[in-house]
Amino acid sequence: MNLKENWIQETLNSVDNIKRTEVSSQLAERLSNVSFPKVKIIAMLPFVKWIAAACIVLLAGINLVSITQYNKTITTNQTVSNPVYSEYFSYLNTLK
Amino acid sequence: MIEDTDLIRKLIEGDRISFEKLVKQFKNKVFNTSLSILQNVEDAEDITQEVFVEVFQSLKNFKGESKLSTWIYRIAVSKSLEFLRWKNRKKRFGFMQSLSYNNLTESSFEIPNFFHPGIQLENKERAAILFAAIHKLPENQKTAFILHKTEGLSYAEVADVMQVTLSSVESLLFRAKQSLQKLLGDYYEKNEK
Repeated sequence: MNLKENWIQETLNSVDNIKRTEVSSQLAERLSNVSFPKVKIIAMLPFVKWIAAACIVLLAGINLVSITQYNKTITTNQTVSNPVYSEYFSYLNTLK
Repeated sequence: MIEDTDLIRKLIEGDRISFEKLVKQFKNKVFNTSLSILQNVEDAEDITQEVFVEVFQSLKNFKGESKLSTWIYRIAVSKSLEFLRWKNRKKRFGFMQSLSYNNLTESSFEIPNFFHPGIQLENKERAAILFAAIHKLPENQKTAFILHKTEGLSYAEVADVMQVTLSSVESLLFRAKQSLQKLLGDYYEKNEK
């Protein structure tokens, strides 16, 4: 092996025992500040879904019944006469 | 692989400790790969940061077809090469640079000015010459040579990172060595004789 070939071979081997460089403290700091996306995976169990749906239906049903009852009460109050009121205005009946 | 899956799942869920674990495990590997390709500490630091941003943004798309380390190496290599291409394009368009660029022949390389911090003192100058020659290699030869020689990856690992066959890696490394011998031979004739 002549001088040139020897030099080439030695140069090619110069990276053989290369050591991995540690990152600088500044870079380490920058890397620790890298914000990563927080993807929240909400795993909903099937029975939880059904319970939630049932709750919504129940709430809607209660509201519907409540509205119906309220409307009925209003109508009854308007139609059924109060006895005191009827007695007070009873003289009007004689005028008829 | 099981550890990888567990780590990825925790990362996607936003687990801070897993994030720190990942950075700790891969920061030096990413930095050293980028440093060998870019041959500039500041550029390598910027690319390392970019690689981790990319890793965290793409984690949900990671299919687990390769090892996590392979995938991260792949991102590091592609980001570094992309940056190098951009830098070379910028350099080429410079008026003064274009004049000197035209004067360079394919078989020559610039006077070495990059001294890798991980090289032993007695090999510093030789390694600087070798890195200057590596800089002149085509992208795929350069990548294969750096991953194998400086990162110490096996042929199979290099093939996984580069997404080529094992025989392609062997061929790339053979051609890289041949090109380097030619470049170094020319350098020797001009400067060392």
